[in-house]
Amino acid sequence: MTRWWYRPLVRFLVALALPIGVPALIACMIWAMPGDPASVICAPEVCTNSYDALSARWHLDAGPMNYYSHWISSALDIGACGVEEHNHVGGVGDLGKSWTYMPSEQVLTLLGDSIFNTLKLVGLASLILLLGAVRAASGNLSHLTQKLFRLLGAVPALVLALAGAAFIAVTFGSETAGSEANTVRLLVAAFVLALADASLSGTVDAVEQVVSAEKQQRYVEMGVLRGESVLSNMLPNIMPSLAGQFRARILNLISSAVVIEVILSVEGVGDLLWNATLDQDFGLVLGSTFIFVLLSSFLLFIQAIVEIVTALVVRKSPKGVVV
Amino acid sequence: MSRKLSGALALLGFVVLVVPGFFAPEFLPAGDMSLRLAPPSEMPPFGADRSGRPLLAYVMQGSGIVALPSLLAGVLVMGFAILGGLLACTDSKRLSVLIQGLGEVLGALPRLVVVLVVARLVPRDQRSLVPIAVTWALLSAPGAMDEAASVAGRLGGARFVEALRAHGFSKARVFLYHVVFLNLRPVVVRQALEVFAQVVFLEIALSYLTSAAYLDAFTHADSSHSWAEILFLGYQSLPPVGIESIHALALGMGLIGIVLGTSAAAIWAVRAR
Repeated sequence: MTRWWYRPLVRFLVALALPIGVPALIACMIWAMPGDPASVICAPEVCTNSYDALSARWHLDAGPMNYYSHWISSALDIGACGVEEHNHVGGVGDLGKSWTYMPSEQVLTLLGDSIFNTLKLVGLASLILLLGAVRAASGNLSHLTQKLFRLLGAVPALVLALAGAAFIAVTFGSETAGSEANTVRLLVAAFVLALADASLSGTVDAVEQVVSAEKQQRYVEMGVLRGESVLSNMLPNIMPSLAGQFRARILNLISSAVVIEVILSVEGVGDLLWNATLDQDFGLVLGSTFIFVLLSSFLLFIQAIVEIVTALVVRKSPKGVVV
Repeated sequence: MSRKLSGALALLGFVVLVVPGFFAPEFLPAGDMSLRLAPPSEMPPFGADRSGRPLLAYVMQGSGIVALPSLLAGVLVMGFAILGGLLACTDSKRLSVLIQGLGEVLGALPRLVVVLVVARLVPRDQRSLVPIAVTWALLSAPGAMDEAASVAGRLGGARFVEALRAHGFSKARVFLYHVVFLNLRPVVVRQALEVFAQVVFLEIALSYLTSAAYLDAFTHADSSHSWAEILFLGYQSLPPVGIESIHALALGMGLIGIVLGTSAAAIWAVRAR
């Protein structure tokens, strides 16, 4: 039998490795493309005299590992160096500079407000999933509602987002940039994000399945006979499974946010990544991806902590038993 | 609905989705401006675009773009799911440790973000849906393997195989027939069909976003046109643009409906008894 700490340990290690490994992979892939990466910033025939200096200044002159080592050492110094240093050209504590989308602008500055918008969007959508999960766990969700969730969940995110965008256009007409329109846009985006790709229906179905299967267990019935609540008996056993499911769902929300932000004009990290992708701005692509990976690592940490706490609680209980 | 009927509907759906791609014209035919945005009644069977070109050509080209890559992604995921299920029946701890580690890494990556990075890194002259579809399949594989492994685990895993071997069945029969065909089939086929539909929708989403920005697509050459362009044309029938292209919207939604219906019918046809 596998030791209880094995899975959380693997999650911790993966959470640590991802922010370091994914940018390395992207850096290698940039160099695997035909042509010199520096030519994306300025074509050699345009920057005839300054091309080599430009390559050296952007650390693009000595292969992917040189570029990556500079990039990652700057990126991992964010916390230590503070915001002031972001504005120093070539200084540490930043995610580099935009290559083409907004040339020479600090990626961290560009990501600033976008991160906040994406977190608001994903947070609201997660809240909808959480409410659905609580209703499903307490058995307060009718079959009709669940069928409706499944039906809407089958519709691709793009179609739901287009319907949302049409609703905003019809409701606000030419004033779609106003603050009220922005609030409604965020709410519509959150609902679309929660409903699309079977996020809500999947969460509701999975939670209901886990809870109803656990309720059938004999120990729960014994607990009820002892006068204890069903939830306090069940929770330690279903918590790791629920934590795993929620992590996967939130990760899915983060991923789907890209399409929804672009269609519904929410200025988040997904929207920024999309623009960076279109403009071949690998500096911004690297920075945005790093943020997404950090969010994913954070979720892995949370899941590992939930698993550890649950395991410790289970091992400590029941109290007062004399062997 | 009976298995046979749902199986027949699924087959019909696949034929409608996949076959037109093989007969797709390399370039769209020349337009006839007198038939600009003509409804299906004036230009059967689907009507015309802004330049009077038949939407049928878009449907065929779009089918050519998505058919093989999405089928490839589905087959890849099915293969991974079968592997996951079979590994759960071998009781190999080292392999399952390795697979859990790989699954954690792949499962922790935001899929669409990775897909966008891959799409951008594919050289312009090699644009195709295949790298994106394969990436999507690889990122979906851990989930499919996990689910197949848990089905095999509920079956009894290595003990189930041992019991059947004790009855004198060969290893090949036990693994391929009893484990894969009789028990894993509903799960692996569902996983494959889900990924098939996801890749089709992913192509539509990516091409829609590039169409809306009037830029070159990531998933196909400039001479080809995705189903997303039908949807984009149709969406302009809604306010504030409001052109007369509602027939394109109906066609785009219809194509999405056929993809969903085909997947649902196929899943129903192979469900567990």
